[in-house]
Amino acid sequence: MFRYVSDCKATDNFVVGLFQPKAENILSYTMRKRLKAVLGEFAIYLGIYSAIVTIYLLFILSSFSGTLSALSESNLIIYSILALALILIQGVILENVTSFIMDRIGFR
Amino acid sequence: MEVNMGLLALLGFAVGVLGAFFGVGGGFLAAPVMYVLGVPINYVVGTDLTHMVGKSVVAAKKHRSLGHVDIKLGALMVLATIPGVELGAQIVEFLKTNELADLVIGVTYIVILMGVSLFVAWESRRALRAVKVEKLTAKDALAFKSFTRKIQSINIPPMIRLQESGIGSISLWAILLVGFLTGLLAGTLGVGGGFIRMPALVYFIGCPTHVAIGTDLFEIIISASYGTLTHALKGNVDIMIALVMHTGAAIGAQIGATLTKYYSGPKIRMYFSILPAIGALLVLYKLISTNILL
Repeated sequence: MFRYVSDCKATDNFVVGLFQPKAENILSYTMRKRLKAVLGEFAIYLGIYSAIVTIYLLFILSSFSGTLSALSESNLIIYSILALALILIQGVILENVTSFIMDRIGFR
Repeated sequence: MEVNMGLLALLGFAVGVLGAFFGVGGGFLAAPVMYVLGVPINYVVGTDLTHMVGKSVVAAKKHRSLGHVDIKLGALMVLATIPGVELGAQIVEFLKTNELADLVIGVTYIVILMGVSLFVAWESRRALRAVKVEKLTAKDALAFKSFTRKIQSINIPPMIRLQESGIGSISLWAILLVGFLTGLLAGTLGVGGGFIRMPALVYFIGCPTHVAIGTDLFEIIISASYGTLTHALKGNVDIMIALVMHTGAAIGAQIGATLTKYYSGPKIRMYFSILPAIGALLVLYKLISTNILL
């Protein structure tokens, strides 16, 4: 999971402050650095996730489009179950894969 | 059929950000645009529901990691929502025997959505003012508590506790009634119901806005999965289009869900109030352009 957001309370409070501008919200150097790190890590996460979902889509489009098209004509029950399964895989498993990769490359 | 994949993914991205930020499925926006992009009308609803399943899974997972999903509440609400949707669909079938059906449903849709939009805008502005004047904590400030308190004080057993929503005791029947009524409205108006259910969770049940968003998305997973299966069995789902849209939507949902963390409840509700108004204007345009109204 993308844990750094919920793990780091101080960073959270700081970022919340950014979106609710107040007079006392003057950024210190450390805070700026932290924000950069948070945004950078989120950008890396998003980049990896985007690449994985796109690869998954291209793989399904190139390998199974014919089979799925034939199934939609011949067996709607299997097609329905498969449709739901393919979307759920894209929704659930790919995020876990991204979190795994983030962990492996040292981001938590 | 030939549909531009890039534009579909872009549409998915936009609906993903909005859906995860506001806790709605986004069908009111996605369906007309899909039609404009060339998706045949018989595939629009089923395919939109299918991509909604994936997007809601991504967004609900993210909200859950932020502590914004009340699974108990969502599961109980959905138990009553589905019969409500089915009854709503039957009412529509009944109304279709009358030639004024489109006009009646269309005008009801516009009135309800404009009502929701104006009310949420008014309430959120008051809540934001209260935060400033009374120095309340911005996170869950609510300017319309009397009705919520009345619902929470209904004392018909079994009474249940909703820990994630911070509700000490509420009648199970109150939850089921709200679920049924929002389902009935959604079924009658032919929408997923996110932009009716999210405010209902806040104002009727008393959920904090962030929990209402996450819980609504959790409900959408179940109701949209049910819708996907029924539409797919009728041959109204194109899984390839759904997967393309979901590629954009999944990325958008990550951004939308993360953004909620940085906005207070009243602020989210204030921005949310624009959505039902857009939905109402789209229906008004449809009624006028097809000469049903005027």
